[in-house]
Amino acid sequence: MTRRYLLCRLLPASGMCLSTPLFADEELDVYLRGDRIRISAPRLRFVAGPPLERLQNGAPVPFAIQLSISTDRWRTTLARDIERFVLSYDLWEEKFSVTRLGNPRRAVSNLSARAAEAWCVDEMSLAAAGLGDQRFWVRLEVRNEDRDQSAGDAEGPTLAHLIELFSRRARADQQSRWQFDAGPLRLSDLRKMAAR
Amino acid sequence: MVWAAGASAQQPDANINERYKVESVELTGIDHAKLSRGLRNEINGLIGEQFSQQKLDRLISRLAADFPDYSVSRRISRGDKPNFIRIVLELQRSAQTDHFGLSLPLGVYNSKLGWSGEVDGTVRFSHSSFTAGVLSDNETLADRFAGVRAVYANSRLGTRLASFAFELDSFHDIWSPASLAAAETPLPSGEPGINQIYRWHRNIQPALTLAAAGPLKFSFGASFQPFQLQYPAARTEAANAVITSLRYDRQLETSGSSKQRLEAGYRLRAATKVLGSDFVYARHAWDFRYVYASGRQGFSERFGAGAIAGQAPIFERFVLGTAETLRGWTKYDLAPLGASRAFYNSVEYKYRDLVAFYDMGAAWSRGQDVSPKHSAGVGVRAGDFALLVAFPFRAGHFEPMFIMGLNI
Repeated sequence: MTRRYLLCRLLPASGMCLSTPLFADEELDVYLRGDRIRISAPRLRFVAGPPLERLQNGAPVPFAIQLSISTDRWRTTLARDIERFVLSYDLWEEKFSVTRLGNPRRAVSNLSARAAEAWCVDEMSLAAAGLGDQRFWVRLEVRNEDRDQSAGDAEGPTLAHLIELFSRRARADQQSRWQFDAGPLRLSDLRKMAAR
Repeated sequence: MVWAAGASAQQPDANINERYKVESVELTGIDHAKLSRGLRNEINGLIGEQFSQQKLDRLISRLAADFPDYSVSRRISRGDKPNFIRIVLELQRSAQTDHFGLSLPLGVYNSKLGWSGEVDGTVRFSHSSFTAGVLSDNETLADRFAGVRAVYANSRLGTRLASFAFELDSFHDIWSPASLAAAETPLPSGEPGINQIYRWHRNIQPALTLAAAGPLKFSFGASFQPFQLQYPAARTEAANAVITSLRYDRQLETSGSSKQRLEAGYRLRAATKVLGSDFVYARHAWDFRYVYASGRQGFSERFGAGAIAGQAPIFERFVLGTAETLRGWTKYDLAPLGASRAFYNSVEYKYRDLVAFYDMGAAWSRGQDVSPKHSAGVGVRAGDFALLVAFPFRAGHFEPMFIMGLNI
C-alpha cells in the first residue's frame, strides 16, 4: 500500500490529492530501457502560459531540461543529463517543432504541444551502471529562459552555464520552471522496456 | 545564459517558420521618421524574402541600440497569402523608465560663473509623467536664478501625434555686481536699467505639441511670467506671451559606423496686452545643429541667433558666454544684462574622446555696434561628461576658462 494510496483514502477529496505538490514525486514514471534510466512525465506541461504565447507569436522558445540522480536524498548529485531544446510553432500548420541542440543535433516537427513535451523528456536518460541495488532518487527539471536573461552571451552555452542555470533558486515566476521528483527507487523495482 | 537569442542566432533553422516568406514588417510605437535610413533598409530587406530568425534578431538588436529607452517585442502571424508571414515589431517605453527616475539635466562647473545644476525626479505612469526639480542656474539668463520646477506631461493626448505639457517654475534671482553696475549705467532708450532688476520670477506654461510631418514638430501654448521688480519699490509685473515653436530633428543616415543628425528649431514668444502683459514684445530664436560621427572621429556644427522686437524683461534677453556658447568669454564680458540681438556659431572636431572647438558670436542691443568675439579650446568628452578649457581671443591678456560638466 503506497503512501499516495493511504493519503488519498484518508483525505476526503481525492481529486485534490492529485493536484497537490505532495504527490509530485508520483508524477514521474521511471523505467529502464537497455542499460539506461529513462522517464516519462505525463503531467508535465511546459508548453503553456507565457512560453506558449511566445511560441504562438512566432518566436522560438528555448528550454533546458535536466535529469539527475542522487543516492543520498539530494545532498549530492550522482549523475546528470542536461539537454537544450528549442521549440517553435508552425504558424500555418499550427504544429510544434522541436530541435535538440548539441551533438548529435536532432529535430522533429508536426507535433502537438503534448507530443513536443513528451519528445523532449524522452530524449533524457542516465546510465544505470554503478547504481547496484542501492536506493536512489530521480529529479526532472525544466527551465525556460527568457530573452532578457540571454543577452550578452554570444558564445553559446557551456556545461558550466547549464549547471549554473539549474543551481539557481526557483524564481517567483513558476511558469518558467518545473520540477518533478521520484524516489526512493531501486533498479530492481523499475519497469523494464525493450531497447529500441 | 544564452537561450532565445543565442539559440536562434546559432541555430538558423531552429524556428520552423523559416520555411515561409515575409509578407510585411510593421513597426509600431515609434515615430518612423526617427528611423535611420540603414534601419529602414534593413526592414525593407526582410520583406519578400525567406524569413530568417537570425536577421530578425539582428534587426531587433539594432532597434534596441538605436532606441535604448524602448523595449522591442515581436509578433509574427500568418500573412494574407499562404505560406507568407507578417512581422509586427512593437516598441514600448521600457518598464525601467515607466516608474521613477532621477536625472541631472544640468550639471556644470564654469571657472568664471561657478556651479550650475538641476536635479529632477520624474514619475511616469502610462503616457503621463510628472517631473519635479530643483535648480541653481548661472548659465541660461543674465542673472543666477534658483528655485523649483514642476512639469506635468502627457506624451499621447488622444493620439500619439499630440502631446501636452504644463510647466510651473518659481525662481529667486541673484544679481552679480557686474550686472547691477551695468543696470545703473545710462543706456539707449528701451534698454533695461536698474528699474528692471527683479527679485523673483515665475512661469506658468501650458503647451501642446503636434507631430506635424515626420521629424517636424509644432508646439503652441502660453507663458504667464509674473516677476517682482526691486527698484524703486517692490512691485509685481508680468510678461505674458503666446509661445510657438517649430522643431526638426532627424537622424539622417546610419550606414556602417557613421551617423548624422540634424536639428533645427524656431521659437517665438509674443507678449501681448491681450494676455494682461505689462510688456509687449516678440522674441524670435533660431537654432541649428548638425552632428556627424564616423568611427573614432566626429564633427559638429551649432548655430543660434535671436532678436527681440519691443521691450522685454531681462529674463527674455539673449545671453552668450556660457558653457555652451562662446566658451571662454563670460556673459559679464559681453552683455551683463543680456542683449536683444545675438548670434553664435560653434564648430567642434572630435577624435576618440579628445575635442577641439572654435566658437564665435556677438550679443548686442539696439543702438550698439556689433562686435563679434572669438574663442577656441580643447578638452575631453566621454559619454555625457566633458572637461574643456577655452581661450578667449582678446588683446592684452590670456585668461583661460575651465568648464566641466554633463550634457554640455
